[in-house]
Amino acid sequence: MTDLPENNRIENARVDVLRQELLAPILSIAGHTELLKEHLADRKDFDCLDDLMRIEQASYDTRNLVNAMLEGEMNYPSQATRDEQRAIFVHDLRNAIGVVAGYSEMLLEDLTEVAPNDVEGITYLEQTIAESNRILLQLDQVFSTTDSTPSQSSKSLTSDLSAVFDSFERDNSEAKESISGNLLIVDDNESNLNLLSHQLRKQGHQTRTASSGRQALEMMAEQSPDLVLLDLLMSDMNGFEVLQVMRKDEKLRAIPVIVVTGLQDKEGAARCIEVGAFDILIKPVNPMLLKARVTACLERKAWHDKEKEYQGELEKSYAFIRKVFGRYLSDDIVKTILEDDDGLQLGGGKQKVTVMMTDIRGFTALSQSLDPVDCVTLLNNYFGVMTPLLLKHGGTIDEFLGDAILAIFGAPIKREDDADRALLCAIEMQRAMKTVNAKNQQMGLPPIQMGIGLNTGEVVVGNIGSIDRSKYGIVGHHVNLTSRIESFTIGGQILASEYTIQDCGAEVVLGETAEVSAKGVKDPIKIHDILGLAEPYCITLEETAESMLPIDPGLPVSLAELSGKAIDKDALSALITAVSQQSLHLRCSEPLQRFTNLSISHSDNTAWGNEQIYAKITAKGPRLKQHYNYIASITSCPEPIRKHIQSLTHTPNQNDLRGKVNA
Amino acid sequence: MPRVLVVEDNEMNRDMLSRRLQRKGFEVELAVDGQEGIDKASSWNPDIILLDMSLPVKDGWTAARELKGNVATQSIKIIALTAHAMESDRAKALEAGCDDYDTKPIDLKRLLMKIDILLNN
Repeated sequence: MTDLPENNRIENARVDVLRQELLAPILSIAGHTELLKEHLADRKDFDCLDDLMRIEQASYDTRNLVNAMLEGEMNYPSQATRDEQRAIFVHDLRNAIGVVAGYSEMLLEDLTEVAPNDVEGITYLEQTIAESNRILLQLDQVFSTTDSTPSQSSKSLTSDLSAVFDSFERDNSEAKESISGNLLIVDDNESNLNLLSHQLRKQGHQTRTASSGRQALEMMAEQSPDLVLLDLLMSDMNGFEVLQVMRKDEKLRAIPVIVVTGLQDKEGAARCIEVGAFDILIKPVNPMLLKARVTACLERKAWHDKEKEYQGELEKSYAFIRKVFGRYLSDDIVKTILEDDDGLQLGGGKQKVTVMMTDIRGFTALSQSLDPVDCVTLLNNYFGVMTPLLLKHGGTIDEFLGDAILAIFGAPIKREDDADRALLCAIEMQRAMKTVNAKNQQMGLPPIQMGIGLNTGEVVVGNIGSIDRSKYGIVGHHVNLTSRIESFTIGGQILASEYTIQDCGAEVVLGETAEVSAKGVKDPIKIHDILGLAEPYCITLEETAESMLPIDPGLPVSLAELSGKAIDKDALSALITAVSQQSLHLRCSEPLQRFTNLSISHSDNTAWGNEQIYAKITAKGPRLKQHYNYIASITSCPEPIRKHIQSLTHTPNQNDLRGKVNA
Repeated sequence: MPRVLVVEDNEMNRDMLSRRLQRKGFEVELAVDGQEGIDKASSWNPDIILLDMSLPVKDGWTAARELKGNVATQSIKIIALTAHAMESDRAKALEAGCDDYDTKPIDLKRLLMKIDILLNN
């Protein structure tokens, strides 16, 4: 009775939970090492790269050891006993952690000498040492030679380590187990009782006997047997009545009963089955039949118990995963994790993700002028709109930090279109600011504007923290870079690094490009202003339909295609029929390709002083008669031209068109 | 300047321990297995040997027994090092003739104290 696929799945889920608990402090060391490396690599006066690599290597070794142990892939000597295996595992683990602590102590001595004011570096080192010593202490408590009971603080790691070893032990013992049970035999005839009891003991079962129905019920209540063999005809209370009492009792209901009867009474037997007896045996009992029926019944009960046990464990695992991820992930991702065998490596590790950071521009100043209650309401309005959007696009919300959101796409589950979804989500979030501000306005709160920074790269993902407090999160230089990119945004803007653009499968409609330099990175990084996404998403940052202001009868312009940097000579006449902050509606008689870059000049050359609007076709509008309609996204527009165009629109109270962003 | 022979097969442990001892002013020589440990103990004549117990070629217990059984090397102090934090390991190491015993990972302060006690008595 082994090898149900279901069993493997439950065991896998269980091992995942344990791995996660074991790896949390180890990942925390890996996180600190990463921070250290980043921090110390910049110091010209302190050459420690080799030692940092050793620390990093040892922290990977530590993680691999725990993984190998949990996967049962440790290379123990073939003759090693369980105790020896434990000793080898602990030996190797202590050694690797010792290397982390030892090198960190050396670096700490050096750094304190070279740069006593480098508080950050010293703190990282001290934390790494402290975390290592904490794990060592816990290992000592779990595997100490004296059988002292572990202290409260290390209880979780202790019980888990033991549980891992015990689970392997249990598997071994189960394989050898043959079906035997604890049986209760009920008969008012002493010789019958002795005979049955003797036969069943010979078959390897443990037996207790009761000489009346009442006594049988008392004994069952006291200690629940695996199976009851119940005589039907007894003087004080017959078997049928015993069965009826059992079926009404919460505790006794589940105990299986085989009725033994001397009467060849089909009607009585049928009645017993009706009130829940498992089977019938006719006296005199044939030993072969007795064995077969008892075995069948015990097996069935064992299955039932096992099912209940696994159900319990499965629920525990599910509850754990829900607890850890439920708050940060959409339901369908949690469901994928729970349903898919390989959907999740709970241990985490290095992984390429797209990182999103948002914040409300000027919020600190705003929050000082606001009543605290209003401030919280305002933020809740904001988060209340953004959270469902992030979850809808499969983002993992790592943290709300004041007015900022840190979200990741690509962990815990990696998908092909992580960067696409991050960009799409960012655009929808910007568009949803309208909803946020409408709500704020309704409640008498000031309007707010959000900036979004996006970046893609390898980060350390996992449950980071100490045993007492850990959370699913990310660390690494790309996280810092994202924060830097975000800091360049103005309200309403999305800026993404070139890495995110490279990773995006769909074509991205880009505005201006800028170069920024970031700490710890030699070459400056290109960041792009995001205006929209092409097929299959077809979405622009601006909500074109609503905010377009018509120009009637239209502004005559001439269009030239920009291929590369050169402007094609053949100009094409067109009309600007509507305008918004960042888009134009164009009407012309010739078909144009989507994403064509255009230079737009006034048909009267002198009107705009020889200056042009640059724009990109982002969408096709309806075709009317011989006219083609297009929506073009403005990539640059000199201020005088904006003012001129705006003077032609028909809504008098409109604010000035917003200037384009120069990142 | 006390002379310390570090016998340890793990590269990182060896590197770490030797560098930390050098910083404290010790003269350090290295060996990677039990046999090399015995050879270097005879040729280099250290004041003290830090001897890992789980070593290739010849394990630490055997090496300790041979060193203490040889007139030329028996006066060299030996501290046994092992990551198996078990009481029985300690007994086994002392039984093999080691002068003291310490567990890995190394607590440097504690180890220096033990070295100091052995060398000054």
